[in-house]
Amino acid sequence: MTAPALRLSGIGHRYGSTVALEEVSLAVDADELVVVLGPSGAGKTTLLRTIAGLELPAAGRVELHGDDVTRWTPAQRDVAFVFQNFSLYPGWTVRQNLAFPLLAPARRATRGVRAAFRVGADTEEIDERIDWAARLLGIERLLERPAELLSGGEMQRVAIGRAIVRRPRLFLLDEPLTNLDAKLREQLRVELVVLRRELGIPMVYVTHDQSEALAMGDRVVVLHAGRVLQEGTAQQVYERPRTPKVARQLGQPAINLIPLRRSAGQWCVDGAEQVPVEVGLRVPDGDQLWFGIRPEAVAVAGGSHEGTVRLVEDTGPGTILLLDWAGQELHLLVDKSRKWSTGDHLAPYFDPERALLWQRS
Amino acid sequence: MSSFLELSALRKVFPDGTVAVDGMDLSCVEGEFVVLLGPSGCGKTTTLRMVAGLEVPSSGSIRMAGEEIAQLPPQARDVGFVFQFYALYPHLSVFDNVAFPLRSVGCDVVQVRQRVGEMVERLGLEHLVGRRPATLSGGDQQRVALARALVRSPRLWLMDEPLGTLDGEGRLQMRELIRRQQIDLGITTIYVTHDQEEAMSLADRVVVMEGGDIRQIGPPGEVYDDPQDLFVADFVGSPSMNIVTGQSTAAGLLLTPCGVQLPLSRPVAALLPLALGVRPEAVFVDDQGPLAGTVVLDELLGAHRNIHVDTSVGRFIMRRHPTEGLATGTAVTLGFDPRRTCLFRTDTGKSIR
Repeated sequence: MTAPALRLSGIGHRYGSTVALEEVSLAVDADELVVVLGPSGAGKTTLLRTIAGLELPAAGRVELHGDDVTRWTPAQRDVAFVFQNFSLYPGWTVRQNLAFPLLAPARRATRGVRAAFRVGADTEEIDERIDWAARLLGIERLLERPAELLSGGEMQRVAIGRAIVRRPRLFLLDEPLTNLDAKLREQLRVELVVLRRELGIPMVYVTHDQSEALAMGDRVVVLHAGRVLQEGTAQQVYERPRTPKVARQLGQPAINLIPLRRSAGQWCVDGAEQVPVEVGLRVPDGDQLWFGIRPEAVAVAGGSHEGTVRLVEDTGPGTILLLDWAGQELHLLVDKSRKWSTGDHLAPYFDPERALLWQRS
Repeated sequence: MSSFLELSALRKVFPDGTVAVDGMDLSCVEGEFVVLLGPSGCGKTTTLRMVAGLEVPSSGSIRMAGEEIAQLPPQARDVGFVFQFYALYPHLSVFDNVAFPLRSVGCDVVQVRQRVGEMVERLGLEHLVGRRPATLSGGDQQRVALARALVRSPRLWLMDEPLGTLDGEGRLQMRELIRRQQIDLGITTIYVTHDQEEAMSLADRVVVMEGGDIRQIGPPGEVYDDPQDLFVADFVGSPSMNIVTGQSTAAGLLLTPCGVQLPLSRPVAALLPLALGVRPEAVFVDDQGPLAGTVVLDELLGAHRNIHVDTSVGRFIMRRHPTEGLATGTAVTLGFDPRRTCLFRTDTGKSIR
C-alpha cells in the first residue's frame, strides 16, 4: 500500500504553558478533501501551520508521501497555503501575483521580485500556467488589474489561483471564505470542491462553519481544545457523534440535548419528572442520560406532553420552531404544510429510533 | 394600523456624487420587526444611519410617531443602536457600559441601579457585571451592546449586522435572543443584514434593497415564494433559485437556446423573452422529465442534501432528503412541478403575474 499524502502522528504543540495541540494523528489520502472543524481556539490554524512547516511541533511527526518532513522548511515541503485574509501583493497585477509562486526561490532572493519578472527563460511556461489557473477560476479578465482594485471574492479567487498555479503536493486552506458575503461563500464553496477534484490534489480545509464542513469534506475531523474528538465521513459524524459536544458541532439548528433521569423504573426529563421519554432498548449504564434528537427528527404531534411555540423562523423551504417544553428549549425543523404562530401548542414526539443517548454525570 | 415609522422619498447623495439611497418609501407599524436585506453597497446601512441620525438625509422625511425627526440629533430621537462591532467602552465594566446612556441623561443612582439590573437580568449578564469587555467572549460583548441599546427603553431599536462577528451556534442563539427580546418588549425594530437566511428567520417583513432602491417588501414567505424580479429571486434563498432563460412558444412552452422545451405555469403570449425560476426543493428526479444531466456534486448539509446537476440548460440544484444521495457522475433526468415555478421577463427582469 502506498503512503498517504499526509500523515500526522502524535502531534503536540504548546505556546508557553498553553497546550495548542495534543496527540493529533491524522492521515489524508492522495485524492481527498479533509475538513478540520472546530471553534476558534481549537488549534486549527496551528495544525495547518505545523503541516506547512511554519511551526515546529514539540512532539510528533509530519510525513508527506512517506517522507518525514517534520524538520523540512516550508519551501521544501511543496504545499500551498490560502489564508483567511486575502493576502495578495498590493501594487502588483493579478498576473504578477499568480506568477510569484512559479519563480525560482533563488531568483526571487538574488534579483528581487520585479527583476525576476523580466527574465525571459521560462516565462512561456509561467504564462501557460497562469492562463490555465485563470481559466479554471474564471478570472481571465482580471489578469492585468492591480490586486487592490479587486472585490473580496475576486481577491480570494486570485489567492486560490496562486495556490493552484504550481500544482503543489497538498493544499492547506485556513477559513478562506469567512470574510466573504453569504452568497459568495456558498458559490465559492462549490467551486472549490469541484476544482480540487479536477486537480486531484489532496486538501486540508480548516473552518468553524459546520455547513462548510458537512458540505465539503470527504472526511471531517472535529477538533476541540487541541484534540481530535472524532473523525469520519460527514454523514458518520452527523448521524453517530461520539459525544454531545461533537453532536452540537454539526447541524443547524444544533441537536436538542434533553437531560433525562431514571425514576421509578422509567426515564423522565430531569427537572420535569411528570414527563416520561421513550428511550428505546440500547441504553447506556447509569441513572442519568443525555437524550439527543435532531431538530428534523422531532415530530410535531404524537407526544404526551405539550409545549408552547416561542419563535417561528422562516428558512424558505421550511420553518424552525423554538418550543418551550418541559423546562427545555427545543428546536424543530418542520415543513411548511402547516402555518405556525408564536403561542401555538404542540406535543412533540421523539422517535426513539432516531435518538442518540449518552451517559450524563 | 397606522404607521409608527414613516420614511418618505428619503434620499442620500454623498459629496462624491454617489447616490446611496434613491428616494425610499417605507412605513412600519408599531412593534414590527423589519429587516433591510441586500448586498454591500445597496444602501441599507445608510438608510439605517439616517433613521438613527448618524447621517443627514439629502432630502425626504423621517417621521416617528407622527413627528418629523430627520433633522434631530441622534440623542433626541429615542432610538437604541447596535453596531456590528460591539463599540463598548473598553475601560468601563459591563455594568458601567450598560449604565452609560442613563447616566448621560442624568438618571439618579437608584434609577440606574434598577434599570441596569433589569437589563442585565433580561440578557443573562448578571454574572458578568463587574467584568471589562475585553475579558468577554464575542457573544457576551454583543449582549452587553444589546442591553446598552435597550436600557433607556427606546421606542425604536436599530441594528446593523449585529451577528457579523459571531460564528456558528452563537449566531443562531443571538438571533433568537434578539427576536425574543423584541417580541417581549414590543419594540419597533429595523435590522440590517446581507444574510438572507438571517433576514428570513427574523423578519415580520423583509425589505430587499439593491442600488439604493427597494426591490421588494413583504413577509419572508412571500418574498421567497413570489419574488417580484430576478434580483430578488437570485438573492433570497440558499442556494439560489434555478433560472432557465428562453422564449415562449405558441404552444405555451419555454424554448431554451439549446432546444429544450419546458412547461410553463400559466398561459403567456408567444415569443416573449422569459426566465423560468425553480426553487431547489421543487426539483426532483423524474425519468420522464425534460432535463437530462449529470451529477457534479452532492453536498450533505445535515437535514438535507443539495445535489448539483449539470444539464444542457446549465447547473441545476436539487434539494433532497439526506438518505437520497447521488454519486458524482450519475446520469439523472430532472423534472419539476410547473405550479411551483416563477416566471420573469428577461428584458425587464420583472415577474409575470
